[in-house]
Amino acid sequence: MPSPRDLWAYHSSADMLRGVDFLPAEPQGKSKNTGVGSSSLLQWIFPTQESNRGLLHCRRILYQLSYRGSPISYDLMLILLHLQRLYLQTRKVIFTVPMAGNKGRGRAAYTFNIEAVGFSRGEKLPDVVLKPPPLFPDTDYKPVPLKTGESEDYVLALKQELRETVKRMPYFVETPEEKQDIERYSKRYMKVYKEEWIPDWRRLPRELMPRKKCIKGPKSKKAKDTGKGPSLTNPADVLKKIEELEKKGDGEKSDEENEEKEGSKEKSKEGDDDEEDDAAEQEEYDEEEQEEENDYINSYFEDGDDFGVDSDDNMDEATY
Amino acid sequence: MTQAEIKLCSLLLQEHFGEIVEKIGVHLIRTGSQPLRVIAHDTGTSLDQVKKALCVLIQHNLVTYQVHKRGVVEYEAQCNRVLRMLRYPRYIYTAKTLYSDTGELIVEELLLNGKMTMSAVVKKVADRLTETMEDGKTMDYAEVSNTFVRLVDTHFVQRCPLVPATENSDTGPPPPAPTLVVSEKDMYLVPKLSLIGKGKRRRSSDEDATGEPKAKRPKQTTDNKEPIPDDGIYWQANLDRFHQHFRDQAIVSAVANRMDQTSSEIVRTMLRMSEVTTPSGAPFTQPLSSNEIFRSLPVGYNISKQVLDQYLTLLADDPVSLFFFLFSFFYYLHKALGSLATATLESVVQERFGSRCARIFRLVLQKKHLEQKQVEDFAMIPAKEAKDMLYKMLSENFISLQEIPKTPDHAPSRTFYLYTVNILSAARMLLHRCYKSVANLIERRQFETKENKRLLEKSQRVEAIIASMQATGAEEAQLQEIEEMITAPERQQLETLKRNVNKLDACEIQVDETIFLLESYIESTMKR
Repeated sequence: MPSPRDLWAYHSSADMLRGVDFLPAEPQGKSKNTGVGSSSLLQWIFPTQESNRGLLHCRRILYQLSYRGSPISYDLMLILLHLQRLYLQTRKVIFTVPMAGNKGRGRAAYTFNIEAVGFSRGEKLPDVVLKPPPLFPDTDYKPVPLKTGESEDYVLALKQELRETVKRMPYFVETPEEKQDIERYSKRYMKVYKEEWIPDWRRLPRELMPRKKCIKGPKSKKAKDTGKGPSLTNPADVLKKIEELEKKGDGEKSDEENEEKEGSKEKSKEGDDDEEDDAAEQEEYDEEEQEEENDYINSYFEDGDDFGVDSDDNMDEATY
Repeated sequence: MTQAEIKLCSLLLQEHFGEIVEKIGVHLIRTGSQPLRVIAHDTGTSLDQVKKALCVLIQHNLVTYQVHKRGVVEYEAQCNRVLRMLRYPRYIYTAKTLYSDTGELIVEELLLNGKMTMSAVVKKVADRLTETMEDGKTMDYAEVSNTFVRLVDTHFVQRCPLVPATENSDTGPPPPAPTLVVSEKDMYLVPKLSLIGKGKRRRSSDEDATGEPKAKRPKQTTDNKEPIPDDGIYWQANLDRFHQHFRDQAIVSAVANRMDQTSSEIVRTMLRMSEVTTPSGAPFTQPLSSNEIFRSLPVGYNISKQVLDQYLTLLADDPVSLFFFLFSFFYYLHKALGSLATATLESVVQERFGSRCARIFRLVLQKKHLEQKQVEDFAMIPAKEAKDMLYKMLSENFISLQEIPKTPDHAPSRTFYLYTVNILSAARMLLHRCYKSVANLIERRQFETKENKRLLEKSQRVEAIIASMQATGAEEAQLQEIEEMITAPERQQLETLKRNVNKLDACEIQVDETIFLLESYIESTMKR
């Protein structure tokens, strides 16, 4: 919470500065507004209004100003002088603590011992800070030097080594980067060959498994990427597939098929043999799914496929 | 999870596993447990990548899954476990001090891979050790397995939860995810394996050949293998045990600083005796009689029974301590951790605000509640400065105010304002700051590395070229010419970079030590 000192500083300096600019900028009558505005300003400046003659004087002048509507330059100067003097004086007044139960508006009566807070009346306060603190402030005390020793050096070396090692592990999943147009000579020597890592599928939820089993090295990677099923870029194959699947005689299949056809535009071609195998595997998998989720397929969308993930168009088709 | 923790987790995950895993991991930490599709949808990554990321995270014990009704599997991230990744070098170093190089490599492999079977660990470690040995010598599997068994016996390595063996796999449809069973009694049971073999040394001529055949070779060796005898039994590093070890170390060194070497040895013996029997969160160790302690003292220490009794009474009477004495001795661990956390706070105040502030802080700590006037009197510091210091510490939340109103309307003039130190909240605040500072350190290090990326790449390329030329046999002059490709000011820049990076890394390690102390203290208060 802001300390009372800050509050005072904010109100007094900001308003007063505004007020000082405010008065001379008003040449002639915006009559009543001037009077009202500046009187409230004056009340801020002169908290102890009853005892202050200056306030009465200023008020009189201002009322005259506002009602007569004529510029009175001499009086304006007088007002400014008053304000200046009072500004310098009031900077020394420490608190206007607004208290309920105070008599009227006014007396700067502090309901607690001002000495207890740490500074007495008439003392100069530190300047108001009007900007955020610096990003790297100066510290009075230097930080403690780091520990040095054999064990610390060893742990440091371990840390840096670990940092390098983890980049080469198969767990470090790299973001696919765009190809560079010129292949550099040094890339030959800097390529890191990572081992393939195959998790133990028995320990993981089945939905995390890619749809196709990993067969051999480079092909399996492609298989994982596609992950959905056979790519049907050939219309002849599509027809064949439709026939196969029609044996199941399920409406569900046609949807999946549609989805595959749409999705297959992104995939790479594979050999026919693979497609056969894949079709067989896919059928098996679908069979299992059919068995489990019999009652809930139509209304509940948890069928573990990559169904409708990449295209929202499918959503309409699938809901019954 | 606080923002600072999440930021730190994201930086750690990015360094270890790359950006995709980091995105998924941070999303899970932020949002709690989620099913697969929601993750893919919210993060905007493809389902394949999410699956791969989840596999990696589960393998490293950072994410757990749970099967809810209707077959939905939800994944939840463990933020605390992610923060442990900062401490990996310390675990590995501890293993080295206790079990030498073999133990070190075992723990390193386990930490890097999350979980592994025993045979896989033994084989890999043996291979690595063989490479570092001189020509002609190989590392025997038996030695490595012995060290492994010793690690398990002292509970530094434990078994992962098992997949229950279901015989009735054809009765119903298989569940969407296996529910893993933790068997307490089997946790440290090593299966009877006879691993016979020696470590294989990778011949240096293989490294020059083009990468393709080398990449294929490991796959071939795994293909034509006989079934692994301990299939399905995975082991992981038991981080709690390591923490217990660190805590004991901290206590022993604190006692050594406060008293002398002998008393620290006594304390070490006591702690070691109750190592395996005390559960990790217990506030007290097992009660021990002084006879037992006498018998278990290390052989080198020839102190008589009376001297031991004297030491024990001394330790028990120490006000700061750590010890409790009824009819037998047991170690009041919670209080020990509290003292350590308090000492950390005191030193932080001292380093940040100066020794006078530290004096005030310790005073308030000792007297529990003090008025402002009393602070000035007791600390013997002039009023204005005392106030200034108190307010400074108050603004940084090391000290808090306690109001005691005299009247029901809480009028400020008629209220006592007492300064007090709430250790728990100050510890939490400091811990939060530590997380922030580690995150800043990592960011700064990454920034420094990125700034000089071009230079680093150039030096790497030059090194690669030199290495290849040396291998194919080149003259000294040519090598020198290539070395001169990096100019002297660039070399200096590299030196500066290296120094800065080392410094930042060392800072991270030390801040992590403070994090450990504070975390253990907070944890011990939560368990009570």
